[in-house]
Order: sequence, then C-alpha cells, then structure tokens
Amino acid sequence: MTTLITLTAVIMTLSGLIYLTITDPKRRRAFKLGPRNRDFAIPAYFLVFGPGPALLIAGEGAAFVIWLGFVTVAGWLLAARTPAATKPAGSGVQDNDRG
Amino acid sequence: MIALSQKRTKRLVAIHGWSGTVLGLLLYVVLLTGAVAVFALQIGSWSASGVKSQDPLAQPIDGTLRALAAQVPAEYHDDISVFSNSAGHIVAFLHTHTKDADGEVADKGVLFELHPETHEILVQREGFAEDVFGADHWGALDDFLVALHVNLHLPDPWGLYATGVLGLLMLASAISGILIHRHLIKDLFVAPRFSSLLLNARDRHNLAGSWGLPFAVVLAFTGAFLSFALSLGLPTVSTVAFGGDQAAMIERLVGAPEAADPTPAPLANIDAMLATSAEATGSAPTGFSVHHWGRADATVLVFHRPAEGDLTVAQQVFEGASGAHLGTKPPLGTEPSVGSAVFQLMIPLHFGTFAGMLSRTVWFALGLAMCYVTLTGLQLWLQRRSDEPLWRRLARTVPIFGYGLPIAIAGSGMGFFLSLPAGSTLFWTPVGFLIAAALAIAAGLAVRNDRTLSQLYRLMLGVSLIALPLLRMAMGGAGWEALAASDNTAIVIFDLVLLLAGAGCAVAAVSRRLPGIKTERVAGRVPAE
Repeated sequence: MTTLITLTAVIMTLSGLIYLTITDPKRRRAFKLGPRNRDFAIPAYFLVFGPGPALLIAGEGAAFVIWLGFVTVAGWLLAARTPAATKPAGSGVQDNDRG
Repeated sequence: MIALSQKRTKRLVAIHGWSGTVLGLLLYVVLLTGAVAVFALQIGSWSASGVKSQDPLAQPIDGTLRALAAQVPAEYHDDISVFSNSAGHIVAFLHTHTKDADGEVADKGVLFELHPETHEILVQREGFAEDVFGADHWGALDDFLVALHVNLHLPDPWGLYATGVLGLLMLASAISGILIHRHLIKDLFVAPRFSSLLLNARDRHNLAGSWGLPFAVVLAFTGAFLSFALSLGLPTVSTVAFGGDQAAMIERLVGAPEAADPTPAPLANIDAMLATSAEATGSAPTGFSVHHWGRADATVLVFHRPAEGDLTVAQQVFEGASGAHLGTKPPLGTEPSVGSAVFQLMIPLHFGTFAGMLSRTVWFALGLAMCYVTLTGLQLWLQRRSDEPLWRRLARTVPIFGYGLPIAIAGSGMGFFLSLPAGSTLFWTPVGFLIAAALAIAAGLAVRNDRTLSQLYRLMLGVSLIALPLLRMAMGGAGWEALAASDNTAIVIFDLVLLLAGAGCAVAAVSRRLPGIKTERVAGRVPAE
C-alpha cells in the first residue's frame, strides 16, 4: 500500500515538475528558446506540492519521506537535462542571464 | 534569496569552499560508502548467494534455545541475543557482561550459528563478542563496507569523531550554500549552461546542490548525531548530568530495570511470545533478546521491521517468567516521549531502511546525488585556482578519488569472492579494496592525459562491476535458476544491476563525449558529463 501511495504522489509531482521545467522562463531565456505559455503554472505548483501535506494528513509518514527524497533527485535530473532544441554553445547560450 | 553584504557573502563563500575542500575527499568516501551501505543487508545476502529461509525465525525455536542454554555455563544465561546473519542462518549469542583485557566492559559468551530450518549447529565459537562476531566470514563484505562508512576503519572513538566532524562539515556547507546562492529558487529549473568550463561547473554544482539541500541537511545532521551520540554525547551527559555515574544515566535513558530477583523460574514459551508480538505489530520478528534467562525477573524484547507505512520499529517487551505481553518499549525511557520519538527517527532518516527496496533505492540515489555535489564542488574550487601550480596538481586527486573509490569497493567484492572457498574473506576483502585502490592511484599518476585517464577509469570500473556477479557464481554461488526457485530473486536483480552498470561504464569508456573532446556534434560545448 505504501508503494502504491508513494508512486501516485510521485507521478503527480513529476507531472507538475515536467510542466514547470519546460515552461520555466529563465531556463527558456538561458537557452534561447523563446517564451512559452504558463497558464497552468498554478495547477502545476499544486501538483508538485500537494501530495506532501496530503500524505502527512493521511498519516503516511514513510510515503511522505520517500516522496520527498524521490522528488529532490528526480527534480534535479529533470532540470539538469539540456533542452532538446538547444543550439550548440558558442552560438548564443550564455551565462549572463543571472537574474 | 537572502540579502547579504558583499563582505559577508565573501566570508560565507570562503567557509563554504574551504569546509568542502579541506575534507571534501573524505566526505566523498563517507557519502559513497553510505549510499552503498543502504543496501548492506542485501549485499550480505547477495555475497552469501541468497538465504536458505526468507523468515529464519518462522520455525519454532523455543526447544532449540533451551537445548543450547543447557550446553553453556549458567553465567552466559545473563543475556541471550537471537537474530539472523547475512547467510540467513540463525545466530544465538548466549553471553554475560565482563571486563576484557583492557578493563573495558564487554560481552563474553558462546555464539551458535544454526541452520534456519533444521536448527543444526553449523558454527560454535566462545569468547568476547568482538572476536566471535568478527570471525563471521560470510558477513565480511557488508561489514567492511558499513564500517568504512561508520568509522572509516579508524579505531574507536576516533573513527566516530571523524565521521561526526564530516557530518557537521556537510551541514555547514549546506547552510552556507543556502545563504550564498542568491537565486536558489529562480535557478531551480535552469540546466547547466555551456558558456565556459568554469561557469558550467558552477551551474552543475549549484543545481545539484539546490535540489539536494533538504536531504543534505537531513543526512548530515542525522549522521553527525549518530556518530557523536555514542562517542561523545553519552560520556558527556554521564559526566555533566550524572556525575560520571554511567549506570544511573543508562537507567534514566533505557528505563529503570525491574528489581533484581534471582529466584530460579523457568522461561515461558518463546514461540508463544514471538507469535503474540507478530500479531501486535503486524510484522514477523527479526530478532529477540532474553535478559536473565531462567530467573523470576527475566524479560524478553522482540524486534521487528517497521510496519507498513511506518518509519520506526516497535519493540515489544514481555515478562519472561509468565510470558505476559507488557506492550511497546520506547527506545528511550519507559514511556513514549518527544525525545524518544525524535531519537527513533534518526536511523530510518539516515539509512532509509524503513520501507524495503523502495526507500533504500531512493536513499541510494540521494547518496549518489550528494557525491555528485561534493565532487563538482571540489572541481569548481580547483578550476578557479587552476593558475596556481599546487592547486593544479591537487586537481588530479578528484578523478583519482571519484573513480578510484567505486573501483576499490568493487575490488573488495572481488577479494571477498576469490577468497570465499578458502574461508579467508576477512583478510582478503580489505586487501582487495587496497589493491584496487592502489591500481586506481597508480593509473591516475601514470596517465597524464585527462581523456585517456577517464576512459581507463570507466573501463576499470565497468570490468570490475561485470566481474562481481560472474565471480559470485564461479566461486560456488547459486545460479539464477536456483535463486529464483528459492525466493531469492533480489539476488538475481542485484546481479543484473551490476552487469548493466558495468556495461554502461564500459560503453561510457569508449563514448566520444568525454572531457576534453570536441566533436562536431558538440562543437564549442562543454559537455556536462
């Protein structure tokens, strides 16, 4: 049961993270991808953070801790991926976008 | 994120950098071995080629234990510990507490190793706990790796001090990292950029560090706590709060013992107590201990894995003479308390062993992520100082340690399997580690070209990982068919993971995307490795 609950929470959070990663304005600026619609940012944040309190309220302490650990690793791996449409560096991907 | 003056930021950057640099390589050793040690139980079972019974305490054990107790001197009835070892055998240690040659209080008694189904005595050893347990050649590999993580194989208490300091160092790095990273939230989704080698290194370190921050704090704090609690905390508490009276302190921490009553009284049926305990917790017992066997004041403590959905274990306590179930025993004190609950969370939060393979796999990934943060932080620090000859020479230590440690860990496994038929695993497991480490260091010193060195290291690691399951089977370990038939599929999966990881490293060794390579496809880009 813990596994099933954890996987459900992880899938919800991952789907939100994927949306936020793809549409993140700074990421898109840094890789010269052009802006993208972020209409669903609030539901995406809800998907990312929602499972945490839900698991705690349900008394699923183990599932909460596993979910949190999984999200930190998966979030990093997701964000670390270079956008697929990125042009080779030296052709404009700069580091001067620090704000 | 947090507005700091330039001077204060500079000071924090210095703290962050130096704290990571001075002991960064040792921290990497503790982190990587910690990630591996999460699977200590599985490594023990894998190195012994599976267990004969998935639930060694399922067979009635009451009669066997009474027969064993009759074979040993009455003084060894003081305490009896029963659990299962790496090979799935039942271990019963009937012992007392006495002073060793150094005048330190230690456990001394007789250890029996029993077949989990027939209860035939496989091994019998008498002596101090350190000697009788230290002679278990089946557990040589997992014991070696766990000890490397816990105390770096340094003598007590110095090893625990060292790992405790490393935990505090990691905590300092994590907290200073939060303060100096001005765009922590904004940069959470920005992949490492390619504008220069240095900035790419900074991005990689910052990104991994930002995502890993919550667990860096948790792992560092719990690790430092576990190291210092025994080596420094308890002796200090004993001195400060109890005037050096350790007995009084233990009484307060563990709970006052029942009034001593040495009147002879037979122990109630152990199997009945184990059954009651299993019913109360909803999980099979993993072990139990009997205090004051054969006396009116006997107590029985039964240990379990955490129940489904729980983080912590619930120990059940019984009155030995009557077999009455006294309830759940908190780890500290006799009544549930906040302190006891927090203390109880330290081990599951540090080792991630509370929900089987799922939590272990996540904790393993977290450990590897922390290794990545440490190594990229070191790389960044050294690249920033690459103009200075001393720092440039030190830069070589990062790949040597980075690749050398996993190669050495695989070497310890090879040493274990090669010496298994001769029963000399206790000697050859650490020697295998040292030989592989020496080879990795020699390669790092001999090969000057970074690209060639990376290729060589990846090849060495790939070959070592592939060799492990092959050696396991070649040295008499069970094959996949036999393992699957005896419900040991986890061992098969372990073999497959090692083969796949080894193949991945070998493929990466011949990959064109290595440091220093500029192919047409990635022209101008600094690969993110």
